[in-house]
Amino acid sequence: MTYLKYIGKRLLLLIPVIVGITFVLYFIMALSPGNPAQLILGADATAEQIQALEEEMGLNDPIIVQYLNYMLGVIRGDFGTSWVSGYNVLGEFILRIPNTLLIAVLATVGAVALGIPMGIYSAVKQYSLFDYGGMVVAMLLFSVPAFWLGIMCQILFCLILGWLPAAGDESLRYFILPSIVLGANTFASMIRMARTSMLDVIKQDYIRTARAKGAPERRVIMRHGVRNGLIPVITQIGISFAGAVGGAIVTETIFAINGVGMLLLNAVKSRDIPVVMGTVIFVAAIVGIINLVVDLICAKVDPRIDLAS
Amino acid sequence: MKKRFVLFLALVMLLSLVSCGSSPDSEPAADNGGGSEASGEKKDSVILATSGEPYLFYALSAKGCSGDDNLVLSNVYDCLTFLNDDGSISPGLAEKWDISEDGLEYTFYLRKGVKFHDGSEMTAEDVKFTYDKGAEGPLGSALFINYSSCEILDDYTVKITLTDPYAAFLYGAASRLGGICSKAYYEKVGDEGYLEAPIGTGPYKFVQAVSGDRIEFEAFEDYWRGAPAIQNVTIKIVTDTNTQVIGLENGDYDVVRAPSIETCVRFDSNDKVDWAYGDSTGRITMYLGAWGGRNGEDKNFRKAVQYAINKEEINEGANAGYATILDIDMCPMYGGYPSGGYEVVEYDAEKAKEYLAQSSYDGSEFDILVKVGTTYETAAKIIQAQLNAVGIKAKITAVDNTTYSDLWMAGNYDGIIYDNLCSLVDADGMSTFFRPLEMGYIYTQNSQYPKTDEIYALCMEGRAHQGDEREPYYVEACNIITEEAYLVPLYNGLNTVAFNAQLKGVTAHCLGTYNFYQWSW
Repeated sequence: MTYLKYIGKRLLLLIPVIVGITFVLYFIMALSPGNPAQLILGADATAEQIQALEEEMGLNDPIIVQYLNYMLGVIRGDFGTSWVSGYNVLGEFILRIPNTLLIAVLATVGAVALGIPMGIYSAVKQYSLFDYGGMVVAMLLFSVPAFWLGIMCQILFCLILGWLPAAGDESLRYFILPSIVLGANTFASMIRMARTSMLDVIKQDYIRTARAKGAPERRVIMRHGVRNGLIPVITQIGISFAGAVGGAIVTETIFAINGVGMLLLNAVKSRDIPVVMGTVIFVAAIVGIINLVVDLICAKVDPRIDLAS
Repeated sequence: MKKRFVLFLALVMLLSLVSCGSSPDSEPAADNGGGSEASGEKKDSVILATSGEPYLFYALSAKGCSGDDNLVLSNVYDCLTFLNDDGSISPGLAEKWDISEDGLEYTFYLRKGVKFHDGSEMTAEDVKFTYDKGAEGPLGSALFINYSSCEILDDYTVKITLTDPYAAFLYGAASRLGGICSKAYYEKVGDEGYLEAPIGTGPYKFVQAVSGDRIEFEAFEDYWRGAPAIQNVTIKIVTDTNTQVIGLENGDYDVVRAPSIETCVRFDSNDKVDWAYGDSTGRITMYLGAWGGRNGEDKNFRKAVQYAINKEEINEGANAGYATILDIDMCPMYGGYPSGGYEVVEYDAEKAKEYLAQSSYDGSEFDILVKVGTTYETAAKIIQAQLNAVGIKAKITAVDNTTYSDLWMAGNYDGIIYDNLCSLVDADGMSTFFRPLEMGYIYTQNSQYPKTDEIYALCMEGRAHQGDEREPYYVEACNIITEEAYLVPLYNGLNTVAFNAQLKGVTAHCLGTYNFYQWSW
């Protein structure tokens, strides 16, 4: 019951967050250079045509009125249509979210599955060759920009080795490279987080107690160490996953994946306000929900976290 | 204990490596993509990668359509006249046509037995429907200029009447608005239905479009020129140009639209990829700001700029020398392009310095407006160096599309490098920057050239005459522009295409579109 209450409260809290985001965003979009009516009609438009279209689109109203009109539509479930393509914004988003979620999940799962064990082992074997090697790899992947890694992967795995398709989103094979590129950063931060966190935990008194009572080393690490060391790592996983859902723009562009990042990028470029707004609202909601899930997991793992308060 | 843990880790890493590699089943797929016929199976599909997404596949609705849509429209629809790669006109759905002496009446004789994708026959009714509706729509005033009416003489003959003579009308007929639509189908489904499931008489049937991803086509067996060789064509939307190139080299794509010329030149050393290029219908021109408060208000200053620019050097730097240099603000392929008699300004740094000395130039910055990340930006940098060399301090404002268009509309530049792409392959296109204020075009409101009225009047005379008679007017208009140094024509725009070397028949069309039916493996 406390859980349900807590979830309800958190979901309600999402509403003011989204309203705040949309408010700021709408103003920034409205104030940025470029007249949407003129962009739609092209250079060859007369002043009269532009005025007529501005009137039709409601661009002559004060920004606050435009914003309120837009939000009224949103409350009714009407996210409008793209100014560029004329397609329904909700439909556009639903078409693309599976691709984005798929790479985000693959990237995060892969990074977690590899990164956490490596981090834990590095901590257990501090100052060993594996530890130093792991740290170098982590630093490298952490600092390499995605666009560079992406192009290098394409050249190596596609052009030279010929193992994988270079771009597209037709089948699961197409998602392997993008997931690696998107997950590289998360992988690096997993190693580092898991290692640091474990090093902290290993020095704690209760670990010494566990060893003193004669528990085997494996049990000490896996049961007493890992469970306590994982909490900050879980939070980090949530942040990385949320980031992957909202901002895989570079990866999606390089690998020509028809995802949310590409949709957002193209919409911003062409000042397509309905698409930008709609996408940001959905992404904000998804990120909010992910954060909620992460908090719930943390509470499950660590009984000391009290959701009720 | 420790050993087991290490073993576990090693296993995890090994597993992940294997799953990443997954080589056994990937090899045949890579072969397929390469378009090779090693397996004995003949490939009959093509994937074309492009960055600009076409959205509207029917030109007659109130939404109109844009240049990018041409890629779809020119393969789904046919026009009465057919625009060749080099900008010349040949018969399309009309086998032949007559033009009356006064240039007001065009009689088109239609091909018989031409079928729409739904199996119905194309007749004069459909032509009249297309022209009447197209002329009223948003593109009518730009592409069906001076259109008055269409009269059906019999099932296969129509007479189109103009309000005033317009020499470029045949180009309008071949434009994206001229694709003949089915009247009966329209009456059944309306504008919305037509946009969703367009049909024409063209070589390819529209199958489906997935927004942001791809557009699919299927060959039309009953096409009047004969069934196309390629069965399925897919247009893939790939915004990143590097990805397009890697995808082409990897065999994921068969054709890449408009790669940069540096990329193309690099393909010369790759025997799996070919490329082609051709002149576009666009002029790359630097228009000078000759109005209020600008340095360019002073004619001597404009002359100095005009003489300071070395076009050969720009072409070499921006286009590896592949483009055609322009002497006047018209592409040589335009109908009505004068055969001679116009003034040409050659690069002359000494003369530029002389003019500059006579001008009132105060050493302030000459602001060149250009779209960021384009080859035109490279051109702008070369121009900057050339202007600096004669003593004009130049600065480049390289900005995104929207800011570019904002600054342009405001007349807020000293020189703007503009790609003047013309849908009509005609000398009439030169008039766009010299439209009088009364016509209401936004970009003319803050950037009126002092001799606009005179130049525009000459262009209108050029419109009203036919054949060689047009030339003297254009010569005179160009000479005024050159004498006043309102602009510096740089080079003819370049269209490029790169493709799998086994694909035959791929050429660069002047409008940046392709005729899929000419392709074969």
